Amino acid sequence: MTDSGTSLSPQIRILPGGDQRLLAEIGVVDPNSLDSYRKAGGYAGLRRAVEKLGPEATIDEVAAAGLRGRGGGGYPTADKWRAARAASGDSKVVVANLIGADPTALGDRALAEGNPHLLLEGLLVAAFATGASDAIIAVRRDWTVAIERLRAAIAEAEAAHLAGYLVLGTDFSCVVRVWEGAVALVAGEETALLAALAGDRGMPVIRPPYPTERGLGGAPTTVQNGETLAHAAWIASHGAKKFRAIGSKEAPGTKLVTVYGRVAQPGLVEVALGTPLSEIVALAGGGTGTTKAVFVGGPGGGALSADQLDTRYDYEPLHAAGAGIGLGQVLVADTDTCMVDSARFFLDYSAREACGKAVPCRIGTKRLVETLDRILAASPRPNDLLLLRELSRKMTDTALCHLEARAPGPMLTTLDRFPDEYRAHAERGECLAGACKGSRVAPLLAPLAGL
Amino acid sequence: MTIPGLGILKGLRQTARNYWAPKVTNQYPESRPTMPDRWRGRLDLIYDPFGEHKCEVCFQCAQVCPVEAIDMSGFDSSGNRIRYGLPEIYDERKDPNAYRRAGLPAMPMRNAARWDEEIDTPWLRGVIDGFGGKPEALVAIFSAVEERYGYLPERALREASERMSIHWAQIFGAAGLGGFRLLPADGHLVTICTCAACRFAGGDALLTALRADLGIEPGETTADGTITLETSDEVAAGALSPALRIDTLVYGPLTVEQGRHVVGERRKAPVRARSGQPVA
Amino acid sequence: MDFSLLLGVLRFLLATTLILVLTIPTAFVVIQMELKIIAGAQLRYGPNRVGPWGMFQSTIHGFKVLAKEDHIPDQADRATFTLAPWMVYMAAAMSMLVIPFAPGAIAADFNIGVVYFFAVLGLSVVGLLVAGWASYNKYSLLGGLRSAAQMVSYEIPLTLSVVGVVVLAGTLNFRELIEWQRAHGWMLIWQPVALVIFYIASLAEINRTPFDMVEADSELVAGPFTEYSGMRFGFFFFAEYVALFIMSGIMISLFFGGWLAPWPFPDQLDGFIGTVYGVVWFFIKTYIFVAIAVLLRATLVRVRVDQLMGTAWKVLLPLAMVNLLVTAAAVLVFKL
Repeated sequence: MTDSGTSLSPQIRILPGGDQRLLAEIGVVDPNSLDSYRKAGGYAGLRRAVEKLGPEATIDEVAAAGLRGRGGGGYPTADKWRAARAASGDSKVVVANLIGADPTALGDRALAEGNPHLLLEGLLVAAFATGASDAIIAVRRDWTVAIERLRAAIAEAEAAHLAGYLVLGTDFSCVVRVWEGAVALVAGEETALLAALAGDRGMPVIRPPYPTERGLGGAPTTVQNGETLAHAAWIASHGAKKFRAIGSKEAPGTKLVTVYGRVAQPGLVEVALGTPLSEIVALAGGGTGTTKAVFVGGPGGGALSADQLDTRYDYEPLHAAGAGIGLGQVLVADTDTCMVDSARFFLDYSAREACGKAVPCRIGTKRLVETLDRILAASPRPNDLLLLRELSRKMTDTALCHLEARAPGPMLTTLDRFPDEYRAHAERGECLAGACKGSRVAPLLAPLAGL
Repeated sequence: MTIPGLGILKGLRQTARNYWAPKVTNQYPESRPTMPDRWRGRLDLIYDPFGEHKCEVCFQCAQVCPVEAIDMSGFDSSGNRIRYGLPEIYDERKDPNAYRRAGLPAMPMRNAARWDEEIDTPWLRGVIDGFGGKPEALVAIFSAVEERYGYLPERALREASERMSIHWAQIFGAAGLGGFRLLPADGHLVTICTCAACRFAGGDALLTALRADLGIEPGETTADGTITLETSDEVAAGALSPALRIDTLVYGPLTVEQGRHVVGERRKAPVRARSGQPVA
Repeated sequence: MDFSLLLGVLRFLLATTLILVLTIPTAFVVIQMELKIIAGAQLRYGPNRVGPWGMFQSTIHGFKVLAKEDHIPDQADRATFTLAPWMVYMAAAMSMLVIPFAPGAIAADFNIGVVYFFAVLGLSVVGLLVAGWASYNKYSLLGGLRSAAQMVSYEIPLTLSVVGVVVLAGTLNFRELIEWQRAHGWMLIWQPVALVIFYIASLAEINRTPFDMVEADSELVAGPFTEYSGMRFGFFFFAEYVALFIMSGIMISLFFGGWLAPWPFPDQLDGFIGTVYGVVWFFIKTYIFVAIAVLLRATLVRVRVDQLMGTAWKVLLPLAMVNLLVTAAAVLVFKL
């Protein structure tokens, strides 16, 4: 029993409804007790994988289930594991990315605090499938509750021979440890996370070679989002067919979505992929006021206007609309929100959180912010709107990591869908939403607020 | 009388003589030039046509230099002049030359006297050795230091660099991107969350109210030294938005009134670190 | 079956093949000389890494040039573009046919050798013009035109100065010219003015400094050769250096006794030894003059194009004509 009790941190609010698989056990299972987890059917997946299936068949099962990475990229998980398995190297590593690059996304934190054994099981399944002997759970160092519970879970699992050496009596060994991390938004990029793990400054590197070929310390490393691993554990115990029962054909399964902004009940919800956005917003109690736009995917996503709320929450449909899944952020904005100001906010966020390695990102995001500042101050240069698009295109074309490629997303989508607001600001200094009154940061030479 | 062609002959004589003369070429690498002891190749920063440094203090040259020959200095994003390299200095418009040419006074160096503070070196060495001096443990070491001092003193980072044999450019790089504080904060550190959730829930109003109340901008300390105001994206407020963090405790969701109240209350209390111990 | 005819044809084929093959090493040697002599004049070593004393540098240059990408500009006329370097190179190679290396070692012992030589030399002008035009580049065109103008202008004093020599010797055959010099002493005593005119004009004819406006590296890029790369440019490059060799060879044949040895040595020997002896002296003398030309390149300043044309028309041409007049008058008067 740890000091924190069994409840979740107050930052996490789980909403009822949706299609709960991963969240189903939170509140039911005692996060501090291995027995409680096992009684609810825990570690059956790991047992099945290690004792019955074997590594290849485990990967096949995950492939059959069609699991895609939940860290935003949507890369087929089985392909990644296969690549890591095929890579040459004696000591392979698996890393669970729980850094939670965007602090507004609550999914990974909820899992880490509410059901740490689920994450651990998924991590062990991944380690077994790829042939890794080391596993690291990279957790944001602020999540003290999560860190505590994860460490306790690892200790319990090792004592029960479910982790550590000679798991379940077989010759599969996997030593798991928790790494308290301090990285910025760029932690969503796996190579940046690996650099931070090695003690370097967390900046991405050119890929290929991908981490599955050469990652941490030169060993083939599989970096997987925490939620993805939880799904993998679920697949191992329940089977691929059941996993495909809900969700869309290209992306089966569920996703943890954090709905926030102008909704009645902001919080975390689990939905099947393919659910229309309007339903997701309804799960959070619906929008307060008249919903104008929904920013899907955080700073690397995009804005969908209110009449696009029937868009299905899935990788391809969102991507086609200019947004993305990201870490499951759905931000609802109402008619009192200025789109230009929101775009500036997201770009400013990306600029401040940028690691600084790639020149177009480091300077480009800054220039885009300055351009938006000029627009907001009603003193644009003649080619400013053109500059916004051109610079974004250049950044996307030459991006070193996805943060840079997707940073202009919110701005471009708002520019496409709400051009009147931009024009009003640029030409008349008028905010159509009536929101911009001294609440934004003054542009140019004044110091930025924030570290 | 000038004889035509004589000049050509003179020239030819000179070149022919040169042909037989000893050559001046230094046959590197067989013969290497000897440099005087105090010879220093100088790194000169280039200026653009507008008179500003082209250098953006992106820190990569310092980090990659195998002999740690490069020091850097500039402004951090709160406008404080930091010496010896704070990595996230992306705003080249805060270059001191830009200020000078604009006729503006350069930003004063905050806490100038404290950047060279003494630290408990044996304790730090113990911490480092406890982790085996491995670079992977850098974040953990930083956490321990920040827990004790409330920030990462420069002396501590230099000691870590020496002890662990890591370039201190790399140390600074890791520290800078990790959300660690590199400047001491006087009094209570009030951090207002500026993540998307908090902002859309009204965090801006909170910031404006507190700025007005305390009379300081983010990055500054009140006159009596009890509150330092800052903003951060990483308060991780989640469902508690809009939130602020005082020292290590997160308060939320707050209305403007509640925010004012809680800050006013905490202002009177002594400062405590994460572990509950008073800050050194 | 007329064996003598067959033999003659075979001999001719062999000689021409040998000549063609000989142009390449000649070019290599001349280029190497150029690299080393200019380096020496500039107080530096020149190439000294590739081979002993850097001997193989120019050879390697040749191979390098082979390895480069062969690029033809999109809108260039492919046929003429390909033809141009061939023309220039053939001009040099064909003119080598009549060079008198040794008593029995002339590839083609024409009775009109001198005329043939200068006629064929004019082919290179055409080649340059074609190169400039076919490149579809206005700067190449201008360069080609300038080069053609220069070469054409200097051909006149060049040939006029040789006419004086021919009038004196009474023959157009190179071998007989050398025989005459053997009998009467080297031509330079008889035609000093013609020598000077010939030397200057020959330098201008083959675009050597101080008359290398055409391809002056800092002027019209590479003149008519701008668009050429790889082996095509290699052809032009080699042709220039082979032309230097040829011009020096012709000059010594006309004015310095050809294959005849200077004073303390016997003029000529007989038989096979005689051939070798002649060839050796020929090469010695030729390379001395090549070296002088290279040293001139290291020494002299390039002349402006108007000064260049001015010199040709206003100085050399009248001088050559006067020289011819005086020579003709002397022959008439002194019944030489």
